[in-house]
Amino acid sequence: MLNWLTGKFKSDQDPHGFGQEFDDLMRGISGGLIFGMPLLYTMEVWYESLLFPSGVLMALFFFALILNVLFSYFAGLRENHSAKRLLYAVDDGVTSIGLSVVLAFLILWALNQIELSGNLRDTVAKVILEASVFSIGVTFTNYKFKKRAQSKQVRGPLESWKLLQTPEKKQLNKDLGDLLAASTGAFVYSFNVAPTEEILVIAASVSPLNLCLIVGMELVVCYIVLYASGLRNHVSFDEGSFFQKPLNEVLLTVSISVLVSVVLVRTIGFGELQFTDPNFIPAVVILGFPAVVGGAAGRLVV
Amino acid sequence: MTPKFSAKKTAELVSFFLSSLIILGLFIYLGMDYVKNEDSPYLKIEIKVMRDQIRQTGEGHVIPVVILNRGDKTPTRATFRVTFSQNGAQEEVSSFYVEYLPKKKSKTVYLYRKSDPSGAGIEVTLENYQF
Repeated sequence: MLNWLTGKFKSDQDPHGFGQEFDDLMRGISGGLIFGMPLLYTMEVWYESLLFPSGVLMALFFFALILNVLFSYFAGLRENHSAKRLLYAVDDGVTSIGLSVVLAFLILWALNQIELSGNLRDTVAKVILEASVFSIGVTFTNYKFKKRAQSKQVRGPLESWKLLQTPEKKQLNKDLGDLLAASTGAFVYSFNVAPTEEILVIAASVSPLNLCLIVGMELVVCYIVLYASGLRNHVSFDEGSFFQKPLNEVLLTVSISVLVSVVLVRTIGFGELQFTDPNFIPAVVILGFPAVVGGAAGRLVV
Repeated sequence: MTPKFSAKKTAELVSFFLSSLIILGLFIYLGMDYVKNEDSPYLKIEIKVMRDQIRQTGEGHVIPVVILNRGDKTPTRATFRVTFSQNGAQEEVSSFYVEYLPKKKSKTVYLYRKSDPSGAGIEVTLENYQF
């Protein structure tokens, strides 16, 4: 299982392809989150979806399915996708939508925007609207990352680092670069979400249990984007470095992202929340989710 | 030469099968909802003033009002009129609105009043709504 999570499994140990499939789905989740996260924090999407008649929702969902199949025909969700065949495209497109529905449901539920005991029609409407956009990210962004990882391998690690003398120094520079990338990614990605009313609306409505769930999701999502998706071409100069351990790297990225979230909530956040406000910590955790996605995505770029 | 679809591994087929089930389930549900849905502009709104849950907070009193939309449509905005009366005489009239009152769902609105409303008559009525 651990091998699956780090993408280090051998094909002969995986005759039914569950390891590879897990990797592909994780990469899909990363792509979908990076592409569709801001939409999950948009109040108009939650509420307007309630007003759409079922016919419109069906048409929208069908349109998203067609778009995904078309994208999959050329790009493909799975890493080993190469053939331009309609059946393969249908397989990838359908899987993208299915994955997006599950993902949108889980996140909306954690953000307290759907109630398990509430109206099923409302839940379906919200999930379909969010998942339709999410699914495009699953298919499309996945393709972009795959290309990026390939081009990175050709170029190799940052060439300028060769000039530095010891592996420790090289590693220190790389760790600092990662830190900067995480904070920049978190800042850029969550900056446009921070001043919106949605953060306060969610913060005021979530229970402590929901907040714990969101913190857990932030850790898992960070791990998926950094490691499990296999998007990142990990370069390590010093294997003994504290920050090169998966758990430490995840904790560091989440901490930096949450710190960025604290600064944004306090400075440009809606409602001018003070540190002592009971909604301050919930707002930091809520904004922390897109910040973590941005922070982890930022590290992929470096 | 392109590989055959049947060459796909079990895991991919499992994902495809589960995703197909989710999509099919959603389409069936929406299809059934589309068939039975009546496009009527009339709403059935139920309003309950929770007199037994009136609480004193600070210098005033909070009165919970539960609004239940039993209709089949969600209004973007519904306006309500509140009338407080004492011994049959109108004391105060005010109004509030609720945005997005989902069908078959309730929302709770909290009215705030300085004087103790326990002995007063409280009437909340629907004034208008729009889709």
